[in-house]
Amino acid sequence: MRLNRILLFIVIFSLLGAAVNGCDKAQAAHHPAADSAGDDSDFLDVLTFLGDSTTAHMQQRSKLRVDQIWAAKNRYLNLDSRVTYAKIIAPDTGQEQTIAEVAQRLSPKYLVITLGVDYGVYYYRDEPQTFAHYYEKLLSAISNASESTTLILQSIFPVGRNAVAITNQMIQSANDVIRGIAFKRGLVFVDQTPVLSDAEGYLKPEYCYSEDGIHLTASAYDAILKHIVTMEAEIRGRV
Amino acid sequence: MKKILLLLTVLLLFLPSCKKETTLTPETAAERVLAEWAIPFVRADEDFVRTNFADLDGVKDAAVYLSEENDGTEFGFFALSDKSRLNEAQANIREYIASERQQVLSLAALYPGEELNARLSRYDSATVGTTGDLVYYFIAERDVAQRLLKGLKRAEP
Repeated sequence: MRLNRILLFIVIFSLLGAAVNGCDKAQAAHHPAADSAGDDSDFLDVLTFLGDSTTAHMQQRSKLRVDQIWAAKNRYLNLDSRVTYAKIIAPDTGQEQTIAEVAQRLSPKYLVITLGVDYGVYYYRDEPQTFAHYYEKLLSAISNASESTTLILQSIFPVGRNAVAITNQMIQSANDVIRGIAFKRGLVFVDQTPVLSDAEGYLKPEYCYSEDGIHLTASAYDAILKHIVTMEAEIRGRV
Repeated sequence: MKKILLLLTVLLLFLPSCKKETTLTPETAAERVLAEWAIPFVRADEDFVRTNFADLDGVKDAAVYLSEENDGTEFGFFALSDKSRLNEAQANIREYIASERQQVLSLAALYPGEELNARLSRYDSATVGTTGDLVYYFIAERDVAQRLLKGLKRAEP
């Protein structure tokens, strides 16, 4: 009889233990990065993002800190002849300064640049050398201002079916230019196209935030950041 | 007689030195404008001038300035090797302004707001012309440009 009770207690406690583990696992599944949250957060913490509105909106729709996002006051940032004169909001002072000026003062460890959908992709669609010229002009200005910053070039995000004027073919051509620049300069190129595109090359509908087909949802930014995290080893290896 | 001739010779030699060398260059014209204009500007680099005004043939000197307030306000002066091409140069600059306006218009469609509307109005009131041997343009409110140009012309000989 006593043995039966002992066995009963063992069974009960075993069942209780399994239940607790299941909740833990369930919680881990609900927060899939929970166990490795520290690792992902550590890497994402050292990234700074520079770009136009498709980057600026990460301030509201991603888990990044506001100070990790460098963007202009009105959120557009043209890739054109004025790009080195363009002003962004310095995250530490709130003042408008050129990108180089902010880079010189803050010297981010890693700067992820996503640029081109404003102006460059469309107006230089037949002038890849001009697109490359101004893109590299900006890279040089940043590198000269902050030699310790490792630049990471990110692909321009695809657009949805509703996009007007800008096509994914234009974007792909521009991304080929950016990829070439990254290769030439020994920089990492992060290609988000496979992550964000559907089978026809359009921005997946669930990632489209607005009718213009250009701006992204929170889930899109989540996917973008997850993809960047998978490239951590490659990025850190380029320092 | 000899004294009179000598005096005349001295006078003839002296008079040319009284005439001031007052050729206005893009640099000096820009400096005079900057001295009168209360907002800060940054000088555009050679790359900016070369790529944005690539169709301006025979530019021997240029001074282009962009507003540090990043609101689209800018101005420039150009000296040409061939002064007979001043009209052609003005036409090229007007094309540049029209092109820049078009891209601001495209931006305004994506990012509607007062800031871009204000930029568009500056392009609409842009001024292109000549002063002396220089071709100039102002992308600014028209009354501002006219005031500055008046000041520039007053400073000319």
